[in-house]
Amino acid sequence: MGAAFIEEPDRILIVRAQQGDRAAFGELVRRHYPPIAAMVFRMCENHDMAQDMAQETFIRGWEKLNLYRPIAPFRSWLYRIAANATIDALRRIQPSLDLESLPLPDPAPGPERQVESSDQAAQVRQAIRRLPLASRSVLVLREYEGLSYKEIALTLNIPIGTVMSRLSSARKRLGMLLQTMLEEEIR
Amino acid sequence: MKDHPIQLLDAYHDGELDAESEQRVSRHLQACSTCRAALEGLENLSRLLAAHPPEPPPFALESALGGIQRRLPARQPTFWERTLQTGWQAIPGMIIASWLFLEAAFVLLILMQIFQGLGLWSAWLTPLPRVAAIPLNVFVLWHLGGSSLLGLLVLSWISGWWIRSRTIAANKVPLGSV
Repeated sequence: MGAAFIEEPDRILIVRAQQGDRAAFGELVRRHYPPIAAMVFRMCENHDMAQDMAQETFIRGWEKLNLYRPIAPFRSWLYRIAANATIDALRRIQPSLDLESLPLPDPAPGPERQVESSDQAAQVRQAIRRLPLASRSVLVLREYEGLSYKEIALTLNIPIGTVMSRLSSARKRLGMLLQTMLEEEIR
Repeated sequence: MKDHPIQLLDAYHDGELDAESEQRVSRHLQACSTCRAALEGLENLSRLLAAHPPEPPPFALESALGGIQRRLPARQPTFWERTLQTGWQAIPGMIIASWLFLEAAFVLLILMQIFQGLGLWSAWLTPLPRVAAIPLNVFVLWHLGGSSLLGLLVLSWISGWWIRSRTIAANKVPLGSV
């Protein structure tokens, strides 16, 4: 059954799924589940939660499929659902952090060049995890998913100006966190 | 150097500035070592992030499909879908109502012709216009033609309903078996 859909572009599958074709929707899940789950994982760093949120994304997608209009790629539409679902879930777990209230570090060159220890990857991941949720989402969508500012704005339903300020804050804060980790390591 | 375009450096680094702003930042960078250093910091950070992407362990797609299938609710039809569905379901009723109307009109016209033939028209049917003397065979032909047409419509609807129900049944394939 799946083979019948391999050559079908998303557009046709979406139309069929909008008419209630569950098999067509299943093929869409097959195509988009891995990148969506990976994106959620990068936001929450939790495999189980990433699986749950990715499933939740497709269930919400199925329910809202009639609202989808092909003015944006289907994956961007799914990203939007996934990002919102993940942010909602993380907010339930973590106390909300107000990005605007956080002190910003000086815009000096980051210490990231100096972070060359063997557990560099773990440090980077830990630093990302410690970012406020709002800026972490923007950073992940930009740095790992390669979305443009406009796509990020659409995905998170925020103005482009907010995308720019959050991304800038995220990078500065990440630099500061990595510097702190490096200093702790030296001590 | 004053007025460092710090706020624009991220967008410059990401290639998100318009041509004019990009040129302005480029010109500034040629003359400003502070901003060049800040830009280098951004580039290093992006390289560092790219070198250590938080790669998730593989996800079990089949298990996910099963999970989605179990939780997938029946899709709620939209307003237009509901309207269309109601209209579709009302078609046989409308055909039968049309057929009854035609039959009633046919019987009435026959009765009126009979009354006219018996000379009873002027006695108690004066408010009604006189019915032209249409031959009976024309009446019968109209009647048969109208009834046949409606019968064909009913058959078409039944065929449509059967095909539609077969299509829906065929589409009810579990997600996991796709």
